[in-house]
Amino acid sequence: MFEEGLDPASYRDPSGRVYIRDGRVFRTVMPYASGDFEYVQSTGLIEELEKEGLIVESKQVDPAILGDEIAGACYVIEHQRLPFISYPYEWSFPALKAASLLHLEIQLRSLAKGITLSDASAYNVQFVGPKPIFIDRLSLRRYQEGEFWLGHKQFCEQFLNPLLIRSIFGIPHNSWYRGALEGITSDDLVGLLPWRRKLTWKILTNVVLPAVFQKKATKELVAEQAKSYKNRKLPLITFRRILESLKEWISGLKPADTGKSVWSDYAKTHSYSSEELGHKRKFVSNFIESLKPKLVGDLGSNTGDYAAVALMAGVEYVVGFDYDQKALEIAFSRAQEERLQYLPLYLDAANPAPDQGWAQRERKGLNSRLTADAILALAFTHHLAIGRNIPLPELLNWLISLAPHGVIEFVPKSDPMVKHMLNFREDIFQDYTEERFLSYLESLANILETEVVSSTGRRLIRYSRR
Amino acid sequence: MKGTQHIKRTKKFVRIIFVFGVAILWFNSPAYAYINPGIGSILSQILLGGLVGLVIVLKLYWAQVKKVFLNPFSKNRDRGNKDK
Repeated sequence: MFEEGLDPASYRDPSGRVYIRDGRVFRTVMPYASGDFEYVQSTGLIEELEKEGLIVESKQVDPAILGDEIAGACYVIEHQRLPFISYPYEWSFPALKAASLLHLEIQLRSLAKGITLSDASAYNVQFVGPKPIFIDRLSLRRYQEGEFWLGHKQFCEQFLNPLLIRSIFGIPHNSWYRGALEGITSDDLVGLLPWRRKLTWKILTNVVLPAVFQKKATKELVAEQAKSYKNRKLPLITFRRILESLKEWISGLKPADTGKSVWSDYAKTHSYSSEELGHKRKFVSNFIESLKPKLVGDLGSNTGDYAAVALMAGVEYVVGFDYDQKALEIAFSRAQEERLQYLPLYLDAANPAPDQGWAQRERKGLNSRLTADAILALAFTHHLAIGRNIPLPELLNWLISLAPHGVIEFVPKSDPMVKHMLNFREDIFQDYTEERFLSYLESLANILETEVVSSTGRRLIRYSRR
Repeated sequence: MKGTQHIKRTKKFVRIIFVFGVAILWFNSPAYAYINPGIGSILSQILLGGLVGLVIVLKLYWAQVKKVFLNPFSKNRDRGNKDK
């Protein structure tokens, strides 16, 4: 979880700030926002959204709980804690889509009650399993008759454009988004779009025109518009129509690259026989049943088979990580369909999400966010050790640092997958032997149980950190 | 009788167009935001606001245009109904 004290990411909005105290999450309401806070409270919208699990649960607490640190705050609310904080650049396509639709849904429902959202930040959406949940109670404020949708630009940059680069070009949003934390600008996207796309009505009105106007707006025009801006009005009916048409459009977006990937068929094409698979599942299941961890990190989660096994065995929540987009998408749909408390996220383990943003403290790196009780690293380490040349001791050190307990699978060079990885390259991995693997692991952790689970010599190892 | 109805209808349209025009351009709305909404997005919303108003007005006109075209048929229908 996050460090104690003031949350460095909550600096943007003067309405209030987030504090972590003894692992509990508080939000202050400053005088600037107290009128809106009271109004929103009086409409019953919050209870309605809370009941449906669309907004994070919160209750008002005595401001004294935070002491002098929050001098001047009118109210303090405490939020329900979420199992894991994730960022849009870690979400799969269907997750980003679900988050976009949640934002639009909340905006539409708010308007019906005379409320609007003051921004359209994707970071205000989090996930509980595959279900998106809105976390920023203070973005909700009174709607002023005729006001514009002030979050439109942000919505496009943080939700729509990242979805479009995948649905039009088949480019996953993750790496680009991670580099540009505020999302993909319409200007950048317009530069890529072919003419026939630019002229489609929805892209024209949401992406192209705003980008062109933004670019072409002269100082004089901006000054002139700023003068008359306050006298202009966006009729509510148009505001709603813009939101509804975006909702309809986004609901139908699909990745352009709909073919199979290397891993999306893994569950059907892996190198295990069904009997061996049974052993592997049993091993994981026994591990979970005896340790009873609450939060498990599943590295190389693939389509979520072992996340499902872990949940069946009693784990409360699984955060899965994989770098294959198709596998992630299948995993996400599976979590939705089977209602699993499982959130599959994008991770290139050789380059995990870093501390970044303002003062490098705004968005946290993976290690400081993941406070798992245990990890599963099944059919995972060879991809880093052989695929990415990560030295075994360093690799194991990183894995052990993620959680105090875990199960790691060692895949020997005799395995068809490792043979395949070495097909076109020199075997520079003299160190990569089961003996070395176990001895490195033993220097960091107690090996509690091991079992060879495939005829090709794959071995599962259960350990506890020293 | 028909003539006065027509004048009434025309007056109604003028009123609708006027109300929309005013709605789009003239109301006071002190909107505020801590984020910068961006002039591009605001300008396109002004345009969209105008277009949606226009579409509604055109739809109303279209009903009239359709009526003119369908008039002979509707007269026949009316007569038919009367005969019944």
